[in-house]
Amino acid sequence: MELPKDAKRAKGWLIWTSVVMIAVFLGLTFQSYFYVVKKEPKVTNAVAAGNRVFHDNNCMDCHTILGDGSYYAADLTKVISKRGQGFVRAVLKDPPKITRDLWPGKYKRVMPNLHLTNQNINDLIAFLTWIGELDTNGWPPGSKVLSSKGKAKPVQEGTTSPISLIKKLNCGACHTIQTEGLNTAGVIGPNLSNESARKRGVAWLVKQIGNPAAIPDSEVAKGYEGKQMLMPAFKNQLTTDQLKSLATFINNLKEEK
Amino acid sequence: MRTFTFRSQKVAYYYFAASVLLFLLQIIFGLATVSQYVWPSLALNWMPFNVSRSIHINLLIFWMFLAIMGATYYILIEEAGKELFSTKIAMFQLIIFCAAGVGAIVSYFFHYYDGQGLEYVEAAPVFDWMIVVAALLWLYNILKTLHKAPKKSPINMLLLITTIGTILMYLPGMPYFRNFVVQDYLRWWVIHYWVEATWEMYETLFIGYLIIKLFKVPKERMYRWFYIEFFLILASGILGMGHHYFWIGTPHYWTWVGSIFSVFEAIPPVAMMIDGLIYARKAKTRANNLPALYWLIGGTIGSFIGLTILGGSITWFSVNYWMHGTEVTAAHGHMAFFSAFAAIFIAFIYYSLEQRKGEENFKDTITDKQRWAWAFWLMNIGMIMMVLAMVVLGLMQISISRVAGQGYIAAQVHEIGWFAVWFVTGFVFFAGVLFYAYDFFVAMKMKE
Repeated sequence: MELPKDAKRAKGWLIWTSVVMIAVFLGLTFQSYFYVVKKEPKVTNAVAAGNRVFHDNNCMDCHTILGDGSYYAADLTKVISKRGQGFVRAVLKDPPKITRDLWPGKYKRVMPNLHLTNQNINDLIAFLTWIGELDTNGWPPGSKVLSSKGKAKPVQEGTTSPISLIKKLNCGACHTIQTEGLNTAGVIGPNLSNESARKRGVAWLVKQIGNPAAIPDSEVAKGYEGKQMLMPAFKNQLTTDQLKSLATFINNLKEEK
Repeated sequence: MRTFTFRSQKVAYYYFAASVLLFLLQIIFGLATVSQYVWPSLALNWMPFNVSRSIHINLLIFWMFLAIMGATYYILIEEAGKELFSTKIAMFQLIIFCAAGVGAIVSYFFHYYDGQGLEYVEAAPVFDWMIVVAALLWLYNILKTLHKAPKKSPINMLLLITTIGTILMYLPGMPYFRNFVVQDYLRWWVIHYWVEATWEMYETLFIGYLIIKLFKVPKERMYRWFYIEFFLILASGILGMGHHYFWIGTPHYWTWVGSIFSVFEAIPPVAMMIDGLIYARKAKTRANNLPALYWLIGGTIGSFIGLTILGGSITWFSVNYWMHGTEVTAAHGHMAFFSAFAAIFIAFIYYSLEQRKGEENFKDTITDKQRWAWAFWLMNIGMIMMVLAMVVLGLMQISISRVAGQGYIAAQVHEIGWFAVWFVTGFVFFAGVLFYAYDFFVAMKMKE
């Protein structure tokens, strides 16, 4: 096999460059492995079990996770810090029922029922919490606002302006709030545009916003029983002043005729 | 009146026939998948999105792998100057491989993933092992054929190295890991080191082989080109892997490693396109096999669009921060797979059909009938329109859901029109595939 001279030279480049590149890549791979094992949050048994449930159900061919996967359903990287455990638990218990009501309009992307056991759901939540705590270099966009390394922090230090808080917390994704400066049309939670008529009081609303799961069904707006579980708890994301200002604002909302 | 020299080269056509059928099936499942964007939860209970999508992307890999195996055998035998070591092994390998493919597809309907439900490598371990067996039979057959071959050929050495690389890089996707980051890290070895290293090397070999055959370029002149292309691919591609490690919990230096080497990854497709065009211009004799010529040149231009333009434009980490996890990456994936691989394999298959039937016959029944031209234009136009729709969808997704901060599905509601465009143009592409499949089987049935 006599190669022409120039081909021989190119062959030399090919061999030596490949060897160097492979060596560098393997070196970086070892370094990355120890980084992932030591610096990232530990994989507990529950997280590992959740990882298995995640793979057994091929979640990744509808959802993305860490941005990898399919683009049919929402990215799951920060789902726990964004939506709260209660929401994720409620969805996983009966996916078709909950996801059918999540969005207004006729267009419904429904999640199939995966028939998960309570144990499966607990493990999955542990897994997704672990994913949310990974240091993902600031991805996905906007995640820094809600949490940094999974730990919730006040959304906007200093600001107690309720309108900017409502926008930051994206309350409108679930609630309809029609008032000056706000025009949202969410249908998952009750319409808040005329909240003053419900006569809740500021203290009750502080409790509702801070920790919705603590509200008994008997106190929930009619037709929304059980759905308080879907709402994330905001007490860790807001200072006391912010919470109070938000509750006061919502308590005073009145529909203008 | 076949014009190829060795009887055992015939084995390649069985692989090509299987690949054409699976290609057809792949597009049907692709249409079923995109239809669920337009009419969500249409088949929620028996074929949810993740099932049809898994099948769509798995069939893609299966049919392309079949085309690669067939083409490898075809070139190997000719270059070695002797018959294949065993056509029986080759047929057995084909059967096992197809059984693994069909088995995997059926298993998805029963949600059987066995801990492997990861994009692109969804097949449960039992099917993984079947594929490994088929791959090892392939390697064994190649090695035995090369052993004491009358002709020593650099092309065969490169084929062998590429094949070993392909098989080795299948293995990291097989084990199950407790740690998702570790698993995702290794999953990319399979995907990236196939499409951006070993498969790209196959692509180079097939393009080079077709240039030699179609334009009557002396083989010796292409050797340098093969080595330089391989050099460019591996020098950039091995560390270009970093572009999959930006956001998955790995160390931050990958952003720089991945971004810089990805820029160089844009070069090999450009070189292929320029060389293809130069050789086509310079060719002393006019290429007779128009279908192969069109698919070859179309493929190299398309891979420039798909790999260099679409891939290159999303790969720098600060841009990728916004593009990652959107339909823009799907646009890159579609264009790149279609042009860099599908088009080149189709070119090779048209070339081999001519060799099987003789130039005269082929001209009368295939080239002059123009079905190949319909296939070529419908597939290419359909693909470009689909890809444009995906780019628009991705940009809408970024602006509505990431910049304006609306929910994921809230953004999708605004995009239904473009999903409809994707769905309709998918049928344009499908029509092209029908022409191609029909052409293939007409040529196969024709008397030799």
